[in-house]
Amino acid sequence: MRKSGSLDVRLTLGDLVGSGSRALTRYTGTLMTVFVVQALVAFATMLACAVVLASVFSHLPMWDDAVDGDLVSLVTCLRFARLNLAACAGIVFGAVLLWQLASWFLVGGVYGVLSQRPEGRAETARTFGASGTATYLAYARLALCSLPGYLVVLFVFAICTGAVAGRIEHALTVGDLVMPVIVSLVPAGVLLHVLWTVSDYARVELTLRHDSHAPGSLRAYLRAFAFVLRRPLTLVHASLGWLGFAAITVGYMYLASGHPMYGAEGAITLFVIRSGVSLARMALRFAVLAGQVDLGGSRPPPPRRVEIKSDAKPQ
Amino acid sequence: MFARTGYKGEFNMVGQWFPKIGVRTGPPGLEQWQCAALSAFTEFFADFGVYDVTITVPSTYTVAATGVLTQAQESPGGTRTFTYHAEDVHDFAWAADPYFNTRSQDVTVDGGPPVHVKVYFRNEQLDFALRHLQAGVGAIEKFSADFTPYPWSQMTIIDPPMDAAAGAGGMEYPTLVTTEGDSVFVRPGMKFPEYVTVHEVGHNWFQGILASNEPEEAWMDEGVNEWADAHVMADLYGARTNGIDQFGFQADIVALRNALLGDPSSLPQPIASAAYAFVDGEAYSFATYDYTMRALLTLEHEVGTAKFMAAMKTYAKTFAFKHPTGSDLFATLSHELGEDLGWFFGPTFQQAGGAHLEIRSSSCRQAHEIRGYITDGASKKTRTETEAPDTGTWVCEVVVQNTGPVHVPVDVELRFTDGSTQRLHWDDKGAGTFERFSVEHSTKLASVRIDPDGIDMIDSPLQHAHRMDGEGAASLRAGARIGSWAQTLMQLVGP
Repeated sequence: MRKSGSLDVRLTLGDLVGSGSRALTRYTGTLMTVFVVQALVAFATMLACAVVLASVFSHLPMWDDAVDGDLVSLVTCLRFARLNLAACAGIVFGAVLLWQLASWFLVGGVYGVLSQRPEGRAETARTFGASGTATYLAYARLALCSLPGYLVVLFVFAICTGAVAGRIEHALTVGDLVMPVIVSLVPAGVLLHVLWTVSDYARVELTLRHDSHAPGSLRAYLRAFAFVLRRPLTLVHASLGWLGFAAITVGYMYLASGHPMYGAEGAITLFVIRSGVSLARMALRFAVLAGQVDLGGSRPPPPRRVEIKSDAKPQ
Repeated sequence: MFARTGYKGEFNMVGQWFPKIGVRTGPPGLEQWQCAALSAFTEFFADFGVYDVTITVPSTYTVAATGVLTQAQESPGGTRTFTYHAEDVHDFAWAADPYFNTRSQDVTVDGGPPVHVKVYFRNEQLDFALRHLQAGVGAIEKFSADFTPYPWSQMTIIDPPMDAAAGAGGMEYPTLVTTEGDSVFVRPGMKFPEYVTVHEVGHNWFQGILASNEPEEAWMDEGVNEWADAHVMADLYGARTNGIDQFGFQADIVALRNALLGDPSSLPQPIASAAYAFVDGEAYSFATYDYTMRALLTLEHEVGTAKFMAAMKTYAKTFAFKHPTGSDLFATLSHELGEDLGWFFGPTFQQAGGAHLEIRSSSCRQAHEIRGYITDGASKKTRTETEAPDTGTWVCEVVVQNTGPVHVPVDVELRFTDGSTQRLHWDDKGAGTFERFSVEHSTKLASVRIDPDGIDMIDSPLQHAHRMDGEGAASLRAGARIGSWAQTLMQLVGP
């Protein structure tokens, strides 16, 4: 149901999907900017790990067989270089942490562009930077607010998995495994999906209302919680994005299985192909964010804080 | 269910349940009774006998036991009674369960009467029971052909219920074994259930027929059996695929285990330690099972498989239904292989440390006559580069070393930048710890490989090969994969 000229606009799933596709065509440059930053971080991770691994394996021919898929060689090499593997894990962790910190600025910029709809490159860049800067600390506080929820997710996962651990351990067929896996993963998965969607809509509110209402992060989080629970469309729309993410990932894994890459050219080719997969996933996410901005914008604004000024003269 | 005996629900596994007959051993006039108690790391040392056992159970129960069922009848009070007869066995075990189903197959051994192989299982485990049955049949055929014919008419394989497998599975008794490995995660291309069955059936030879003293020399049944299992698994399931052939990965079980387990140099005790004297279960397991297997495989590769198998067959036939010792095995092998193998058996089985082969150094320089300040009695001369120019060839020097107590003769393969190769031999039987090779060649060395034929199974092969010039392509490919995984994680936490 849609009432033109009114904030009470009931958007549909089709409206949200349409918003996403329009945003992709209109703000392709913004999408590519964010993607290039991510790709650079991933490329740096690739080079750093390659240096760490080469420091121990460059003179050992068995490593070539390991990378090309020989299981025995792989196990032998990994056991030999446990510290180097730990270093690579640390590099990946650092890269993901760095990206998390950077993403608060980048997502703020994306939300700003999608909500203000600037025209032209210069205006878009200015809007991106201003919005990202303005909301960075708010997003950081929001991340802190959401931490207890993620702890609850871990707790739920542990409880549910513990309840079915025996059945998983003794399963003899795939059929035996289906229900225990569902019990183990679905409750925590649903809760995580809800919390992620809540965070998204809280960020939308922090971006849209930053100048006019200056909402606090905790209040925005709680309001978003209530909004998401009242409007199941939010969860359905977000789940479309994640299903697409999974489909692209699984589809690539299926196509790529059994196709090893040889030589240094292969490494670059491998990276380029996988970056293409990442770009497709990011485009999907970008489209979802655009729909969330439209749906978040249709919400009634938060209460405005009123400053009381007295004209009475001091006695 | 604890230590392979007890019950879980309505399943009962009954082993180590009666006073076992000890063994009187020793030279004539100096015999002594060997009556070792069962403990954590020790199992049997008992003597052969004839067993007649009568078991009465509730009438809803099926029984599986050592030997041959000679009588089954319903008894008063809602019970039934089974009578079993077993000859030339040194133990008797049995299991009872009201939900047992069976599948069986006969196998002919050495042209003699068929051996009846029967698997007992619960209905939900049918698919795995059939895998165990095929493995059992194949094991009896192969072990009989390789060593000595299976002497009994029955082989009983029990596939315990899932909730009892951890306590009852993977155990051997004469003519009766329990197996394990049933799981949805063990796909048909993963041969772990088959391996367990082959291993337990193999114990009917190594310790069932060749009844060595397990408390004192556990390696003689566990380790020798592991060595034999490797051959049987390769014969039944392929040389490269008898461990894993799934998800695009292939591996033979011996190589996979060697890769997963540690280096024998980490063991503080030699193989030939009494089972109860090992410092902990990990040391016992590694020394008794895996290191022994690796040692025998190394010797087999050294002397040749056909000769070694023939020698082991002679050992099996000579000591069938006796109580052989480690010395008996070493003496038989030395005699059959035509050389004193003390240079191998001593360090390998009596000393801790294993082998540690590696390339200590490798380098090349331009060949030329001697340069520098040269004296010849009273005359002194300085020969410069001009007077002793490079000849255009290269002198390459390689030093290989073995810092462990176990020494094995190996080849060293030199590969040059023009693609040619040259093989040198280090006839290392313990006289020294390093060997220096110096060769002159038209091009430089590209790589060095110790033991290119893979004779040495004791040592990890990772550092047996060395490239002169480092190459980072493989590391770059690995880095590309790690980078893309990192990017996926980034997309989960951010846009």
